[in-house]
Amino acid sequence: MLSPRIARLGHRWLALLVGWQLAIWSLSGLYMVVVDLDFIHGDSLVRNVAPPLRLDDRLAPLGAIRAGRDDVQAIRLRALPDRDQLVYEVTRASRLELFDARTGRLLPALDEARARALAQSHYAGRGSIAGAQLLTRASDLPDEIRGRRPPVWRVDFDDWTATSLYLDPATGRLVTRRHRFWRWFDFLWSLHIMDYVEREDVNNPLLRIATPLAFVTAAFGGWLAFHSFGFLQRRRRRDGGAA
Amino acid sequence: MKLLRLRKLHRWVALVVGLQVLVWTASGLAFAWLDHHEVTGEALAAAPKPLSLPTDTGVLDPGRLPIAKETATVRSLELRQVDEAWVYRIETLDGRVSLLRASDGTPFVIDAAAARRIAGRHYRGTGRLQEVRPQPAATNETRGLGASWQASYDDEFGTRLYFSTDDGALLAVRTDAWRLKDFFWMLHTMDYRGRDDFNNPLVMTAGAAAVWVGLTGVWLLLRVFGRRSVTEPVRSRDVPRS
Repeated sequence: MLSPRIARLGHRWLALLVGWQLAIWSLSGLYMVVVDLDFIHGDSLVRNVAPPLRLDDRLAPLGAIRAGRDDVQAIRLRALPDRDQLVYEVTRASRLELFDARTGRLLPALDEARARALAQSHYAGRGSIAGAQLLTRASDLPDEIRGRRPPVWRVDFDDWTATSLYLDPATGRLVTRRHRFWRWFDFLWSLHIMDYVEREDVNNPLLRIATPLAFVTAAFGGWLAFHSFGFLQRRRRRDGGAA
Repeated sequence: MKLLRLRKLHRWVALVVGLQVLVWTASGLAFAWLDHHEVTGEALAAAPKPLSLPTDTGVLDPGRLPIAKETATVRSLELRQVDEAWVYRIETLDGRVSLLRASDGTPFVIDAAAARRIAGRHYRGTGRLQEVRPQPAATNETRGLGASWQASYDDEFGTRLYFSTDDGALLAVRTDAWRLKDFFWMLHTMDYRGRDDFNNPLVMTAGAAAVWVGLTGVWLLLRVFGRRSVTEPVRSRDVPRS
């Protein structure tokens, strides 16, 4: 049987190796379980703005929009919430286009004023807009929206959670929202899965080594606990006393 | 003396959360070693290449759909292809989704035959379709998805694809690796019912206790390993230079 001495040595030396990571796992894990996930996702920062769509004869005929476009894959009727403007969002093979659904007119990409207005209509917090920036190159995109494609409008608010709303200039859609507690979550997540740059690969070699070490450390600890609280010692003592 | 007392307390708390720490490290080990690509099954299914709408295909304008007479307002409306037909996908204000043929506004239903065809266009594995059957109630595998068609394949991954009965959209790819990961996920989050709520009181308590055990453990380590150096001679670089 495994001697408690070896278990104690193993527990200690392994803990020395992965002890810091165990502390990081428990601290980052604690943050993630204590802070409400919906809050992290920013649900409280935006209001649900999907105005009902009225289907009536005042909508522009689709024929005008489809004419000359033989690569249309989907057409969606939506409303831009800042001024309840009905639009057709047309998915083409190569890009997305937006048309005013009343006039049938092709709409230009969002300018800064419109990006600000749309961001404001989504925003449910108490701050006001601190700045807006059009990110046009992949290298401009901050890490917090990695995986997205430019161009994208970033609209920052001056509230205490440092909210940023990201909007698609082509469609006016809210792409995503970020804030202080999301950023902490993301940082702690990177520590938790030990993927410090891309923050998404749970199969990385570091984690693949650290997890078995941690498991063995915990198993040694379990054995030690079993032994020191232990039933074995007590029994031995009792047996010894009887002799 | 103090150290001894701390060690005792460390042991007692560790005894209580120790089992869960073991479970956390074991499930963490599983996440690290289960191939993420097999878990997501991303190579096993993909949306087919979208078709383009020919300019001469007859499409009713939204305002002329029969539904426009009954329900003047909807939550969303989209013209798209489903099962290689052009349809309007409409979600009404009560959250119900229906498909109407774009040519005449008649209902388009995702029946078993349609689900079978749709599954065939999505599946990228090497297995064969075993069966397609309705999955009206949520299981562990379909939680959060709504009513769906389940398409099972006989490949080595135990692939099942789920398609919405509303609009035929691919909702989920489930594999044996996913099932194993999901089981460990339940153990990791300590949400033994829904499996997805990791803001539950049990895991919060266990997490707080584990943090304490971890921090005291590190502290104890430093003290225990530090002891040896007490007997060692002071190195010259530790002596402040005047």
